[in-house]
Amino acid sequence: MNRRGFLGFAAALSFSAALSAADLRFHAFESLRGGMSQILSPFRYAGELPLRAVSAARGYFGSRAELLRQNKELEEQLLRQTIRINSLNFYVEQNDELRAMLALRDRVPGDWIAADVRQETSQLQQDRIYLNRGAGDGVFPGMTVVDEQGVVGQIVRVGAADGAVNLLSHSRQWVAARVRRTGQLAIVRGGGGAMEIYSMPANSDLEPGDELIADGGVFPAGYPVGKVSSVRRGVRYLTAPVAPASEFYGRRTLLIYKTEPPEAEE
Amino acid sequence: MGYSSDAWNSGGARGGGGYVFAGAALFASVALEFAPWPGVVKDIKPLFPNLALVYLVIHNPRAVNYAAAVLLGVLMDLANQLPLGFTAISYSAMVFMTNGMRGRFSLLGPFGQAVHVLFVLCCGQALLEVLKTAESGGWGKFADKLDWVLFAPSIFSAGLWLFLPLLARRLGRAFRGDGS
Repeated sequence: MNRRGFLGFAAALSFSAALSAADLRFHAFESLRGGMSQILSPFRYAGELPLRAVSAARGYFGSRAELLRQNKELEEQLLRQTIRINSLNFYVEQNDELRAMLALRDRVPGDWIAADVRQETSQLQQDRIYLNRGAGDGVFPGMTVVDEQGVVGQIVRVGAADGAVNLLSHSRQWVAARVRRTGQLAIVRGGGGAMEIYSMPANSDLEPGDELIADGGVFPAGYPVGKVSSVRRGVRYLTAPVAPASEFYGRRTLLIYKTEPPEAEE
Repeated sequence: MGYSSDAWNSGGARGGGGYVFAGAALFASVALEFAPWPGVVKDIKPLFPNLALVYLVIHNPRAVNYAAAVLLGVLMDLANQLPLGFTAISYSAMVFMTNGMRGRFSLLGPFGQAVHVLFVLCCGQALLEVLKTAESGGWGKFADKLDWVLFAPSIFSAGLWLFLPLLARRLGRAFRGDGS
């Protein structure tokens, strides 16, 4: 080793020893240590980079898996909520119907029996529905069934706890009605899925759009029956199809208009 | 694994690139030293700055010598909360020893070099331990400190020396922009 090498070593050793002595004996660098430590920050940062990268990658993939899991959970939750909402919608609609029925009871005087529709018409039994009220509930044939829009039909047969209703469109159903505008009496009969005015003179004052209301008797007087759709005048009588006031189908609850039972024939 | 002299010298300083390479190597070695090593690995991990210093003193003596050793030592003293100058003294001694052996290194094979490096690193470790004991007193327990755990980092560093040329060759090419 050359002389220059020895000198370098001696200088480095002397400088380092002087630093140590100054630090140990005089605490010369105590105040500077904190600031000087900042020099180490880049080294520390660089040293932690791989760990940060691994941690970030783990976080990314971990959070992705977590998100997928949460997404699946939310989908299941959404499905459950949708089923629940659909179920609630059913109750909301039923509630609306019941409210309408309650309003109807206030609007039309008399006693009413609320009844649920059990079964609607089938192909074999056209224009007929079945209710969950029967003789046990005080229901008897001839009572009128209505919804909040108009007359639906008439009870034709009752069991102990159920009753069959002929809709106004039933081919054997007749209703005594009046034209609201003129007060003229009109017989409305069912025509198998449709309704029409029966045997009205051709020169009668009847126009399309005229509203027909129940004339009374077993039917609540003044309650809507339907509207005249069109008028075609023949030689003696006119032909006038009637659109029902009630929708007939798709209802869950209906009201039975309570009347006195017919006296038994002696 | 080939250990041609080219391989051992490929990371050396020729021109300005040598200083950049030396600076980058020392920076990387200190960063590795500060990496959050887990548990027991922290106690026995290789002495990256010491190893880099020895390597660079052998292969790049123009860029890295006593001044670099003192600066690096002060940096490590700051990091390890030691009195300033302790590690600088240790590193200066290591550089002195390495300079003395440098002529012989090119004649040695990789294992021979690793043994020499182990000796240098162990001396540096021992010297630092002596200084720390001198500062804190406790000479009575000094002999107990000189167990294999104290020198384990030096042993692993010497083991790492065998793989250093491959790394240095790649990094050296990258810094010189050979691309080959």
